[in-house]
Amino acid sequence: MEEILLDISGLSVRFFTYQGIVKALEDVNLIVSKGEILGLVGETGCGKSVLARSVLRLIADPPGKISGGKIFFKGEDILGASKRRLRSIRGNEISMIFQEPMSSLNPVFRVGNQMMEVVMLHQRVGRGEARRVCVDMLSQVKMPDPDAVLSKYPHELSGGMRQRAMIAMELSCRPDLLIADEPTTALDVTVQAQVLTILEELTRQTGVSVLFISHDLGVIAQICERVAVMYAGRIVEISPVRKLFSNPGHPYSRGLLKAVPQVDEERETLNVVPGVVPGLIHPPGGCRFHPRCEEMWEPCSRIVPHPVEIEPGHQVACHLWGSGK
Amino acid sequence: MPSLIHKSSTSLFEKYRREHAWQIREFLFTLKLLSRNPSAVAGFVIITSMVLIALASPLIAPYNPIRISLSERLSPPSLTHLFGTDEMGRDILSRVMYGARISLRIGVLVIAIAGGLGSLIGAVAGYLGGKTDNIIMRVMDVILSFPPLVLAMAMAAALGPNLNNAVIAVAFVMIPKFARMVRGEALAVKEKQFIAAARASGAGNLWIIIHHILPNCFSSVIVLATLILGDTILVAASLSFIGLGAQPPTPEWGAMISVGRKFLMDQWWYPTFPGLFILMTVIGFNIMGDALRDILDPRIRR
Amino acid sequence: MRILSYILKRLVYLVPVLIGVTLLVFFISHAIPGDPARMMAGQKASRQAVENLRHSMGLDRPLPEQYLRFLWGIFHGDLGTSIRNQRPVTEDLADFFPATLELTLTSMILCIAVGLPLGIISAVRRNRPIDHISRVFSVFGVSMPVFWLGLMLLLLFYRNLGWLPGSGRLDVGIDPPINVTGLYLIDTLLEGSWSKFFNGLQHIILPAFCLSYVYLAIITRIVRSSMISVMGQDYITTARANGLSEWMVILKHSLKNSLIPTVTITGLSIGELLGGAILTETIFNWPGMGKYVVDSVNFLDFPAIMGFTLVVSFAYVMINLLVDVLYAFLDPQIKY
Repeated sequence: MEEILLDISGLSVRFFTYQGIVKALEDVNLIVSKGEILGLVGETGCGKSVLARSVLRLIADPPGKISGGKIFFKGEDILGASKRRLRSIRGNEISMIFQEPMSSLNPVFRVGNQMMEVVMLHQRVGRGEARRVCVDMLSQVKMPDPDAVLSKYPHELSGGMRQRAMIAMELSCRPDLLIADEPTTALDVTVQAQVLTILEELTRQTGVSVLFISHDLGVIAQICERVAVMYAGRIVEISPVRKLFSNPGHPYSRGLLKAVPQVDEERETLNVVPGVVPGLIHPPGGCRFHPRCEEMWEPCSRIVPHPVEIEPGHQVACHLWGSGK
Repeated sequence: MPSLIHKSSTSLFEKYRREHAWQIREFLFTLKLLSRNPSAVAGFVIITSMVLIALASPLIAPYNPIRISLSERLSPPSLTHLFGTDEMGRDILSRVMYGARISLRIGVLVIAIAGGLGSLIGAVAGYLGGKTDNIIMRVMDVILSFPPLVLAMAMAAALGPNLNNAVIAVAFVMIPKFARMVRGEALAVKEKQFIAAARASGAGNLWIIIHHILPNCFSSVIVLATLILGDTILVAASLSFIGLGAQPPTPEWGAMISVGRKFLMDQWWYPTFPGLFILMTVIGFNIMGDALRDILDPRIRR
Repeated sequence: MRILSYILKRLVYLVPVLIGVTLLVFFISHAIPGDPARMMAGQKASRQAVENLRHSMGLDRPLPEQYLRFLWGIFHGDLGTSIRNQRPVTEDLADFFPATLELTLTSMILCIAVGLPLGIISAVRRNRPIDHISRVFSVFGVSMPVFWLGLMLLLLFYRNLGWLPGSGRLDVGIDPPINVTGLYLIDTLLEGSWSKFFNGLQHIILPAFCLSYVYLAIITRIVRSSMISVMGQDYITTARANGLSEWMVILKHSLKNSLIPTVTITGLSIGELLGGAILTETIFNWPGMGKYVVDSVNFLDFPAIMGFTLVVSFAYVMINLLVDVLYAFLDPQIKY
């Protein structure tokens, strides 16, 4: 039985805008265990980033508000934590890397400056020691000539190098949990592979848990052990990666898997999931996927389906498998 | 039964409405947005009040602005003279009202000259490009190398201290601002398809500039004009204050302050009220211009 | 060094602009109606004296030659002779320059010292009361007739409250300090005369505030809007996600990025301050170049007016160059 690192229960997040209240996250339950790599997959706009930022309470208020639920990290209540405690957790016990490495690093400061700043803040060491730590981390992410990189500005590095620098920066304080929000999406395929390999190696070496967010099932399959599928602000399926691919329970997951074109398949059109992602100001009632679901039946538009365990470690929130409770 | 005979007598108004339907719709939409914007409304109210005062001053001013009454000289604000009187016993309220006429007239003249000439110069530079563009813009750069008041002052001094020369001087200083902006817009517009089409159908450069380029810059020119109007009034008043624009006894606001300065200590009302009006008028144009610019920003127009 | 070549490149670009400036001034001075030679000689001079003067001043030569003489004169620091004082204009301007410099610098310091924090606070506390107040303040600032503001300040602080003096750089009975920099505030400190220093400070407060008010408003607005746009950027989220305190996020990460537009506007404002100084110095009887030129205007002393115009626009152009160079320092993405 693994130790639970991050326990999110019943999390709801709303955004209050001119056009209305956006129900971005609704009753989200997620657990990340110590040492595991959990994937979070879903289309753009399903709430993956909102979920990621909620963990570190980075949701801008206004207009966003965590309207319900609890987040426990190592048994500690994150939502109730003081600002001070929160700051000591950020970058230190929970770290986050973002999608766009170019805009995620401050363009007017050197990379070394930004990296060492984090180390000196949390480890309370001097510049010399901080520098040593940073050089060490940079070599761990296979960065050529770490010393030189420290004195460069972000725009002088390539996209892949920037992302590796970010990984190094965020792992420099040896956090327990790393949240990676679409870290490879903005990179070329070859660079993507490099960064993924580095991430995999590092997480195995350091034992850090990872919440890996992506819209790309292929990437998730490569690096994650378990995966949660998200749709329109709700988690619809959680399962070990292999089982998701071999036995997808939720119609949406099935649709996602079917949509990936196979090399040996002969097709003329892509197998898309019909319909569009719903707006979240007035989301569909009951199961939010029901307007697009081919297997929709009577309770789907009325009752919100709760997760049902269809095999060990594999849960699906769909009325086809029962209403759960 | 609809008669086919009526088709040929469609009024000109109807034709105009159809051809320019899109522009009319945009215009009405702009008006609607403006009416929702509090600063635009405030600015509009202020400007309209000033314009009304300016236009109606011969009717509503309580006294003749140049009526001298030495027995009443330098009297404080009272029921008979709401803003008090100046050193010749002239009613300051009436003079301030007439001052609105002068200032607004200066503003409109300057904007008309600078806007017209500046836009033309900018459009020519942007459209023709190359060496012409280079030379014209260098000249504009030279004019912009002077702090505006300093250049206006030098010109007004050289031409002679009177109101018309002040208008010319200020207009000269404002030309590059219009030129720069219109040039930028012309550069964008000239790449569009309908320009190539016009050229293909044999239109000459001047025609294209006047009939195609300039109308497309219209809304930005209006915004710039509103914003610059405020500045124009300030510079013109400053020139009069120094002694280069309107000459006393013309009831121009800046000139009044210039004379009133001597009486500041004991007759505070003399320079205070004209200056207050300058401030209010310029505020009106500035907030109106800001609101207009925000509203016409394509990102905001959804 | 790369920076040096960047500066040289910009200087080269400047040369045609500076020549253009001299050309414009030359044209303006020749638009003057009336006979300059007669004006120099005075109304009572004989026709022969006027002709002699015309010849010695080169006014009977063809225009292009006159221009070249004019240009030559500028290179040698000769801007003509003031009709009013019968002194070289260059000497006059040099005499009055320190006072204007002191006023302009003090105003600039005031602008930055008040405008920067106010802009930052407005951005951080967006749409709260302080933001609204500073926005109203900004609108008033850009719409304010400087000379009227000066008069109102005099009315309040000099006449009604009696807190501050109304004219000059020092009280009438006090001797100026020993001339080291020409800036009284510094010279009095160097001399060690505290009472003179305070007196000078009292005299400079009102004119400096008056002069700076307009640009204070502009700078506040610029700082506010660039801070707002910077703080919406991704790297600010990263900084927060790394556990940095809000102060660090604002003062280290946000500020440096928003300095670029701020520096640009501040630099340009210095040039405008030179223009506004004309009005402020007149109101407060501040013995600087601005007051000098206004007095010259009243006298129709054209060599002085044109000399002033030339000097001020040259300064304006140089300041813009400085701003460009500073810009390159602040933004590492600019290649030079």
